Parts: sequence; structure tokens; C-alpha cells
Amino acid sequence: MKYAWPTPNGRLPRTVIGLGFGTILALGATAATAGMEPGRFRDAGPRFAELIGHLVTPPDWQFFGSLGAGLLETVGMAILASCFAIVVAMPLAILMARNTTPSLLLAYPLRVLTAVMRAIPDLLWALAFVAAVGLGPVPGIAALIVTTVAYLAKFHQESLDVVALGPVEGISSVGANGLARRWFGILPQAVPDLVGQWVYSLDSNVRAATILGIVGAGGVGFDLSNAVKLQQYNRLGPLILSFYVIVTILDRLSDRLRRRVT
Amino acid sequence: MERGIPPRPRSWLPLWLFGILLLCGAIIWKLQLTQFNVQEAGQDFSEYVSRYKSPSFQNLPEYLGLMFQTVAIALWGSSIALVVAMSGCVLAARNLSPHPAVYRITREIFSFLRAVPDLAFAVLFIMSFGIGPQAGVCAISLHGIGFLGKSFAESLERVSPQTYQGLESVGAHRWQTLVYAGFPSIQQDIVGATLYTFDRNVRMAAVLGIVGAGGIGVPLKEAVDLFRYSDAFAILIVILGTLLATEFMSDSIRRRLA
Repeated sequence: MKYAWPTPNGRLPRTVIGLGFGTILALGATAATAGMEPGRFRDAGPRFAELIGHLVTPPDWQFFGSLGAGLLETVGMAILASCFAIVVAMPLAILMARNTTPSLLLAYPLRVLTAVMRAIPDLLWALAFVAAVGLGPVPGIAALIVTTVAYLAKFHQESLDVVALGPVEGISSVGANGLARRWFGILPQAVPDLVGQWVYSLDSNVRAATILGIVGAGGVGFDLSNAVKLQQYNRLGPLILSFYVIVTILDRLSDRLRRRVT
Repeated sequence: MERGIPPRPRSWLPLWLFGILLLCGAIIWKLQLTQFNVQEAGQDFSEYVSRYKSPSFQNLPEYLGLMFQTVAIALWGSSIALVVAMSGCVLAARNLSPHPAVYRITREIFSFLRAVPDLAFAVLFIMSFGIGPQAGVCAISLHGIGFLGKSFAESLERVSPQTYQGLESVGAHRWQTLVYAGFPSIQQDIVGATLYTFDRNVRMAAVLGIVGAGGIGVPLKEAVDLFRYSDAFAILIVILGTLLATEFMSDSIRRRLA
């Protein structure tokens, strides 16, 4: 019996094969650099098991008040950052997309600028903002805004780029031009995509905001790094569980929202 | 009979906008952001940026070595995540899972791994591995398993049932339908999601050093903490270059497969 991959020649696409081989070679070459020594893992196994054992303790009930406050702050930071970023990213994306930009001479520099903003991780932005303006949620929100603007602008731009030409031609043929063509011809087609991306940005900002506190940029991450430093296992357990609960709630909500829009 | 124009559909947009504005206002009030002086902060920030004057590339070989380690951490973490997620996603896809209970449990495990930030995992692993790249690899792969597992499972669910029925009708059993109908149908999703995770993981690996999990983040944190701005600037440039290069690489791979 002959098995075949469902491609014209019955084989895996060459790019996939090449990627697979390349990855295996690269893994071999970097094994030592990444510290993949069996010995380290044998030693760490029991210690990790012990750590998990520590985590299964009765929680520190007094901690729940400040945990709740920290989570609220985290979610608040994410919501503010997302809202602000959406307002900034929309016009930016319109200037960046091939079919909506007034001039490609403006679009390309903006694309490079957002690529650079994206390339620096949010935690590094937070580190810089904390050093500049001090501890607290403000530098955290600023860091989230910078990365979210950069991401949303790129995602929005891609959604605008692939809009169908028919409807745009349709309204051009009845005399729409300039702003009207963009507002009534291009944007409405991209809206379902855009809403999905907004919801996703909120989702990812909440997750990012939980760890910003590690560098002192507000939110529940501060409690996390404290609990680790002081080895307060009865706080570490509830912290990790609360991450799970909050992200899961958001996931369900955003799923429902996205389904209503598309 | 005259029909006329149908009534304009009711728009909920103003209500949504009003609600969101109200929420933002409440947050600003709750976090006491009104006391924050934007102008002063702007001045502080531009003053801070001005300290990064000239990068010093004295220790460039060391930085490049650590950047290589960062990429290695990301590569190992992503690869482990890919292998585990590919084997596990079948159990987490509603239409292919052997039993609803298995589906629920694996799905929840994936969601849990996805929900916990990799930096939190890294902190836990450092407590058991000690300082070093191993903690970073483990943290990144755990988070990646959650992300990739969930996304592969969702892709498998989206494949139309006819694709599977086609193979079942000619007598293929479960494994064969999976390998010759399931995975080929989601091949593009797999590659796309994996490349996205790899990009993200390089970025993550670059900051893992802040908590001590190896890579370029270690000297960066040190340089920032000790106010050695020209060193920090040089490290930032190295990170920036690498991240732009990996993003460019994965973009071109994605375009070739599209």
C-alpha cells in the first residue's frame, strides 16, 4: 500500500522538509549553548517536585485582599493601555496601509518605526520607563501602550491591505473619493478583523501586565517577585492560580465577543 | 406595493463607546492617575533617553555570545513546545479526541500553561535549576506547549468533517485520517503559529535574563542597574538587530509557504 501526502507530487512541500532538517541541525549545534545537559535535568527533577509539593499548602488568606487589589490594578492597566493604543494605532494603520495611505513615502518610514518599536520587548520598555519616571502603574501602562500600538498598527495595516477591491470600486464609481472612499469602502470591510485584533490586544495586555510588576511597573507582578524572593509558597500558589482564572475568564469573554462580530 | 427603504439597523456603537469611556474614567480615578504630571514625566523621560549617548562595543564578543545563547534558548524552547503540542493537540481537538473527558482535561492543561506567563514559570524553574539557560528553556517550552497546543487543536476542529470522512470512507483508521487528512489540512496553521511563537520566544528569551534565566538579559539588567548606559545601549542595539533579523526571516518563510 502506498501512502501519499495530499500535494500534487505526494510529498511534503520542500520548504517544510528543509525547515525540519535545518531545525534539527540547529538544535544539535546549539545544545551545549542552551545548557541541555542531562545531568542538570536529573538534579533539577527532584527539586522541582519538591517545589511543587511546597506550592500545595493552605493559602495565606490574609494575602487575598491585596491579591485582589493587585489583580484589579493589572486588569485596569491593560484596559487603559488597550483603549489608548487602539485610538493611536487606527490612524497610524491608515497611514501605513498600501491602499489607504496618502503617500508611500509616509507609509514606509512608519512601517520601519513600528517594526523597531515592536522589536523591543514590553518588559524592556517598562524597565526604561521605570528608570525614567519612577515606580508605579504609569510606566507599566506606557510600556504596554508602546508595544500595543506597534502590534495593532501592523495587524491593522495587514487587514486593510487585503480588503476586496470590488466594493471600493463600487463606491468610487458613484463619485466617492479621498476620505469617503476609505471610510465607506475600505474600513467597513476590515472591521471584523480589527475588532478581533482589539480583543486580542486586551487579552495579551492582561497577560503582559501580570509580569510588568517584576521590574516595578505596577500590577500583581510585584507580589509575584516578592513571594518568590521571600519563598512565600502560600502566596505563590494563589498567585499562579489567579493568573489562570483571570486569563481564562478573559478568553471566554473574548471568544464570545469575537463570535458576535464575525 | 411600495416597500420603501428598510429601517436603519440600530447601532450599539454609542452605547459601547460610552461604556468604555466610563470604564476608562473609573480606572484612571481608581489608579489615581490624575495626580500624574504628564509634562514632568515627558521631561524626565527625554532626560533619561539623552543618557544613552554613545554605545560602547568593548564587550561586543561577549554580547554576541549571549545573544546566540538567547536564540538557542528560544529555538530549543520552541522545538520542544512544537513536538509536545503536535502530539497532544489530537487529544484536545473535540472532533478527534478519543473521549470527551480526555478532551476537557487536555484542553484545560493547555489553557493553564498558556495562561501562566513564561516569566512566572522561569522564576519557578530558577528555584529548582539554579541560574542558567535551562530554566529559560523549560519556561519557554511550557508556555509554548500551552499556546501551540490550543491553537493546533482549534485548527484541527476547523477542518471540515468531509476531509476526514473522505479518508474514513476508503477504510483509513484513526491514525491514518489524522496523519493524511488532519495534519496536511492544518500544515499552514502549524507553520504560521510556530514561527509566531519562535519570534515571540526570542523576544521573551531576551528578557528572561532579567530574572536570571540566562541569555542577553543578564548583562542588560546589570548594565541598567549599575547606570552603565553606553553598555546598555550597545546591548539594546544587539537585541534590536537580532529581533529584526528573526522577524524578517520568519516573514520570508511564511511568504514562501503561503
